[in-house]
Amino acid sequence: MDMVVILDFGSQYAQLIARRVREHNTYCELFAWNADPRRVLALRPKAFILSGGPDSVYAAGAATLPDYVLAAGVPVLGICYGMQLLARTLGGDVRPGQ
Amino acid sequence: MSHGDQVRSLPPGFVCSASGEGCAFAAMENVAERIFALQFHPEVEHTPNGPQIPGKFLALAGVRAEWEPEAIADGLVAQIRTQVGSQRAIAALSGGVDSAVAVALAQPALGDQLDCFYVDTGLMRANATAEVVAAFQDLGSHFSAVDASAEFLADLQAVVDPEEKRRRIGARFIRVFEREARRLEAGAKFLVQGTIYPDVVESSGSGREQAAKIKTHHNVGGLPPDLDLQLVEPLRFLFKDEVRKVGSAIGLPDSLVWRQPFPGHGLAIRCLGSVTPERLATLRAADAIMRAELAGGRLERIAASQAFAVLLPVKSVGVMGDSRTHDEVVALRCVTNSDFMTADWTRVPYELLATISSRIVNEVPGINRVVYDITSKPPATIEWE
Repeated sequence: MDMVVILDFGSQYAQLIARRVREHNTYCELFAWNADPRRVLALRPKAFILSGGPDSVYAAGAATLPDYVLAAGVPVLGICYGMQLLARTLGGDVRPGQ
Repeated sequence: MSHGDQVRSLPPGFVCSASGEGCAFAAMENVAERIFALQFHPEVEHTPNGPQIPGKFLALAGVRAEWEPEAIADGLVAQIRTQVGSQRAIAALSGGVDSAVAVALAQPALGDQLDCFYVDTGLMRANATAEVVAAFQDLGSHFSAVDASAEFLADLQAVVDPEEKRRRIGARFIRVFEREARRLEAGAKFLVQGTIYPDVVESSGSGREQAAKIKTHHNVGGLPPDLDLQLVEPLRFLFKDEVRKVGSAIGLPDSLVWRQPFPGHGLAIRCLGSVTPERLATLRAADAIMRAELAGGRLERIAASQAFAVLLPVKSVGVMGDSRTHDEVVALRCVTNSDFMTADWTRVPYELLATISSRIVNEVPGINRVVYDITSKPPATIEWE
């Protein structure tokens, strides 16, 4: 069965994202962003969703985008912090808002 | 759009797909690479059309929508069979949706290898016990309803403090559970539990608090460690609404599947003041009238997330015929959850409230006044105790 992995970067809405995916009759599981990659990849996700999170991507020790997400070659949806991680990792620029 | 950081320049290959006031790049995408990103939160209710966005993404990603209640149920039955093999298992029914669905899945998987029991605390709502018994009596000798109501009520005698009520009920539940589990344990290697996904889902700290925490399981009443049973948790990847859908798909009656959340401590904490068999009977009767009228008005399932009666620890003066009465007061509580944290009091139509009120004072002896709770959560809680 096709499934989606949601990586949680500390969002208070991570479970809500999972419920939205399930509402579309699609199975998904939530993992912490720093979960063991082998556990995540064993499920052969057909897409990744990256949650929001409270950090700034530039904060010391901030959560980072695991390499396997882009290496997997499957579609990715980044939300809030997830967007900023994608932008920064792929060569864009992220700055504090006004 | 409240986040502090923003994307100021797009990565190569990306185009801007949305912008807003004070946010040049509210969304970006690289369609060739199938990478999409949003600065805002599509998952929250107050984002206009937000909840449709994850569906759009799934369609663009070509993810097949195969997660249907029937398929889920079939998969779970097969999984239970594989896990338990030819061993024996026991299960405890709490009267709630989760344990009922877990047992209903284990039943076709395990047949005679499964023994289950239900503890009647004497603190259930009207018909709650009868509905559980009716749904599971097909298990024959493999199902037992344990009437422990005398033990629970004896523990609660003259106790009015809500915390003390909770403590005594919790302690008694563990004792009864342990006794039944030991009685049935003979040869059992597994315990079937209705743990659901929010109970076990990994929660991630922010980057600065790296430790990924895993919540502990909630055991039915607290499992004695020396029982040495392995857990079978068929619902551990399901959300509550999915548990209900699976329950319906495998033929559990609506009365069980759509059962409202009910506190583990039962009617004891809706019977303010002392908990006696007489006061419980009064509360149960008023509560049943309220629910029947709301269900008739099609409100119980659609508008109200929870609706129940509370028996107050005060008496008020009334008049019936030519004589003065000095009887107890029932409060009606009816709330609608908009999300996980808050609840609003339900705007039940006045006419319906009038019907409920007049039926309760006319049909339930010892009640001469009915009031409606018009407080939201917060600042009030849903329950009174």
